[in-house]
Amino acid sequence: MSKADFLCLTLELETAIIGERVKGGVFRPCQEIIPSSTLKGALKHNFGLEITGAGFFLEGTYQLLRFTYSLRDKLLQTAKLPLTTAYLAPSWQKSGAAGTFNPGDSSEYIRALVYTPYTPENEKALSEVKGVWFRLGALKSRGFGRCRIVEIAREEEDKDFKKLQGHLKVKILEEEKKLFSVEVLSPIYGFLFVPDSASVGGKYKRALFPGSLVKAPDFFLEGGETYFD
Amino acid sequence: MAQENFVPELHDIGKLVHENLKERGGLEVYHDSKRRLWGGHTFCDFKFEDFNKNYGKTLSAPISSPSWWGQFHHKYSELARKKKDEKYYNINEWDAVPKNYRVYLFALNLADHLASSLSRAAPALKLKATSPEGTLLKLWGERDRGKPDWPAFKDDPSKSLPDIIEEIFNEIVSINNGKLFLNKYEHNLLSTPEDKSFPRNITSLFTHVELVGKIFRLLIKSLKLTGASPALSVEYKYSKDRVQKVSDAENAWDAFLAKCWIRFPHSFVRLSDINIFKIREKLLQQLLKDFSDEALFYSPDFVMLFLLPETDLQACLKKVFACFLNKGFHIEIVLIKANLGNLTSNLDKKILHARKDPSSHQDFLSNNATTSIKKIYLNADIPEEISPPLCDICQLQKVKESPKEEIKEWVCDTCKEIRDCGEPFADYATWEAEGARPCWCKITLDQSNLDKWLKEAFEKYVNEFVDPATDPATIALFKEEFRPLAVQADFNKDYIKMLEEFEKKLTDLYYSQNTAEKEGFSEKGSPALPHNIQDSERPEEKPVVFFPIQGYQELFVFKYTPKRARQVLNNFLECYKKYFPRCTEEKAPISLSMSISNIKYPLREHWQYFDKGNKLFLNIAHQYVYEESFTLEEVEALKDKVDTTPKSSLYKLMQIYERLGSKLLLTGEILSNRHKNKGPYRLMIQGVSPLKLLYFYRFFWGDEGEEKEGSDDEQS
Repeated sequence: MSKADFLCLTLELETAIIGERVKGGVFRPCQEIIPSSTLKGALKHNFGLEITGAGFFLEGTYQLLRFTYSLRDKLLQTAKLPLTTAYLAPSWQKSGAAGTFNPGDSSEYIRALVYTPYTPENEKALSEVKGVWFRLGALKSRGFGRCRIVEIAREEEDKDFKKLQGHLKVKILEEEKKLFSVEVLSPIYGFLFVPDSASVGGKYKRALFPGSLVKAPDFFLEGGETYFD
Repeated sequence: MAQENFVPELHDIGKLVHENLKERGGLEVYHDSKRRLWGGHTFCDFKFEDFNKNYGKTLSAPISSPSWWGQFHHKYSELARKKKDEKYYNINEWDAVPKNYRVYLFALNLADHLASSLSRAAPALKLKATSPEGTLLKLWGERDRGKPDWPAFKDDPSKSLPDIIEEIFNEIVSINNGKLFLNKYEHNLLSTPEDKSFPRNITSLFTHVELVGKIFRLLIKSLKLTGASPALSVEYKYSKDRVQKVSDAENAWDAFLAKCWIRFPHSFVRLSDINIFKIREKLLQQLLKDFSDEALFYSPDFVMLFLLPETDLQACLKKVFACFLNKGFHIEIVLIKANLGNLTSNLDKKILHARKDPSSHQDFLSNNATTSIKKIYLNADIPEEISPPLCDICQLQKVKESPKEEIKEWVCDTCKEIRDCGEPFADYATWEAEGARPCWCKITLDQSNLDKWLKEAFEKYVNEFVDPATDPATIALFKEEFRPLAVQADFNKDYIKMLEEFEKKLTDLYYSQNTAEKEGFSEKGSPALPHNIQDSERPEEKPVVFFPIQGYQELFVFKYTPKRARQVLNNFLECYKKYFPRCTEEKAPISLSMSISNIKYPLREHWQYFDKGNKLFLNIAHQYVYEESFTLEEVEALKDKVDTTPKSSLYKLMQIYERLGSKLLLTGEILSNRHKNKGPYRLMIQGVSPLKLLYFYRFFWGDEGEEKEGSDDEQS
């Protein structure tokens, strides 16, 4: 069996709102991982690239804050019911007791690592957009989701990472499990939205959710290696 | 004789007999208090002849009662040890037991071992003089000398010895089901240890015999006596190996323990979505009824199952949890398969730990070569794709749009059914008008943490009382033989009792008008009472602490004031210390989390906070403002010091931190005022960080404006 080969993209983000739908018409929660469908959609929309990738935000570089806004009724020229959304912001923007930037223990941008299967074409294409600002996630028109790829590194199985048994920490479409070199042992399923080719509608497709017991590259695992039968 | 009349729970009835009864028998019959009419805790060798001769009675062994043969459960192993002849382990040598009852005795021995807190392989230990033998000492309980009223049968000068002895034998004959025995002697069984010798005296006899009963009833269905003497053997439905000795069965036959966590992916959108706890509780009680023997013990979100090796065990488990899966739950299972001799509830941790470093655990791993530890998630079947929209709550089913109060919502039929179970509490809506802030609270028992805690507590217990001259290798081997299943069951039972008592404590405060108003737990002027509890004498009382789901005491909410928060904490501490006084370590398995916010803040976010791992004993959060966790030791120290420190000085410290955001300056301020305000300084010396002090003060005493003069809880 051929060894797995990935590109590790380091992303810097100003802010991010990932993944979840508004609940009860008043609150939109935010995820702390980057599902495969999210990055795929962003790269396609911004650069026309059909590249899938899954990842997570680096701990210590972000915090969860809230933003309240409302949609506008264009006919009546009034605001509709206000919505609050949770969003990820860089960790130095403390909303609590400390309001100052402490260079020692925080970062100016949110950092995320995203892994995408290696092909020479992908590597070339991503290198060309390295450093270019683009948008990811929800409420892009309101300024959220501005990010860029700052580093691209190749990671090869047995050289840079190992395939181990453990609990998955990202969300990937079930149909992409081979691409990400994930072998399912005991799944937790959910759904991820995949837009259609025109990006008008789409479908929810079955996905592997965090916590699933898998055999996968160690960077996709939470809590280290496990030894179940 | 019908099998259901063999009551395995009666096998240890002799442990409810006080030694003074035996002494009296020795004196009256043999004129020697050291001689005995029967040995140990079983009556299989009762000296009927001497007894009858002395008292002019005609008492005989009640051989017509199947339960009588349970008294032989130690006879042949003791004979084998005494005579140093292994033949007595063989079922063909159990001459005193009629053939048709030998398989029951066989199953009883297997169940007895599985339900014991220490393996039979555990070596004997020498003790210090002060070891507390003979009393039930729970690892998390007080080190007292036990309850004096533990024996069900003891010397009574107003009764003759024959009358008392006949009473015991009558019980063996007449009690025809285990529940009857457990209910009748509940107090005595709960006060007596499974084994009186140190350090096996850590499990209640109640839990031990209850577990023996359950495991026996499952095993006996799959055992069959085959052949004819002297070639009798026992066949196990799930193995091709027929055996003649209990030890051979323990080595060859497998069974399963399944640790099952009941989880849900639901995201609370509206308050009524928390009815999912109601559903979970209802389904859990139904499961405990339908699988009363398989379910060894439980807590609100967990159940431990004992299972036999069915062909398709996953399908069996799906059948057990079918009702849960239909409601959108998923079940996380750790499935331990091992031979009956090795099967124990901490075997998974041991095996997984050993596999991390196999070279250092070769012997252990080779002794457990056939053991398997699997992780399984049981989910309801979901299709490969669904067209939108998806349910807002469970995100697993397709829905039709359903507008609610001019807001678009998408809720599937299952989640709608859960919502429609009822309004958890109607008064929550009125809190918004009052400008009140809710404090949601969750009490949690972490079963994984409990496994670890029990192991460490047992080791500490052994170290406390073992003779220091004992060979360390023997002590280490002894500790390895710890089997926490029954102990874990006892802990879970105490946890549920603690929750019930805690709820009662808070609920009682509602209805004592003077106390409740004085303590700030009640306000005049509103009708609705929680749980449909009607108090016709005091209809004007309006409780401000709610347990929104009846029967589920882990989750509650109160209208936040710092004083009420202190009351809740103090009541919780009181209950906790009553049941778990020795559960004081940093990573104790029980935690209380409290989370305040404004009334509109989504409950989902509170729940996410409660669900986060790495909890300490007390975890507080003011959502999006601060979050902190404390050990029990820190809570005790903080309560004491904060109460006695002038609030103005604490308020000043808070302002310093708010404005400057510097932990260093905060520490400097505490140090420079250490003579004037010793409290914060002493806490710092004890290792409690200044920030913890501030957040604790802020949450439980509040800053300016939290507690106004003439506030609700001070009005008469």
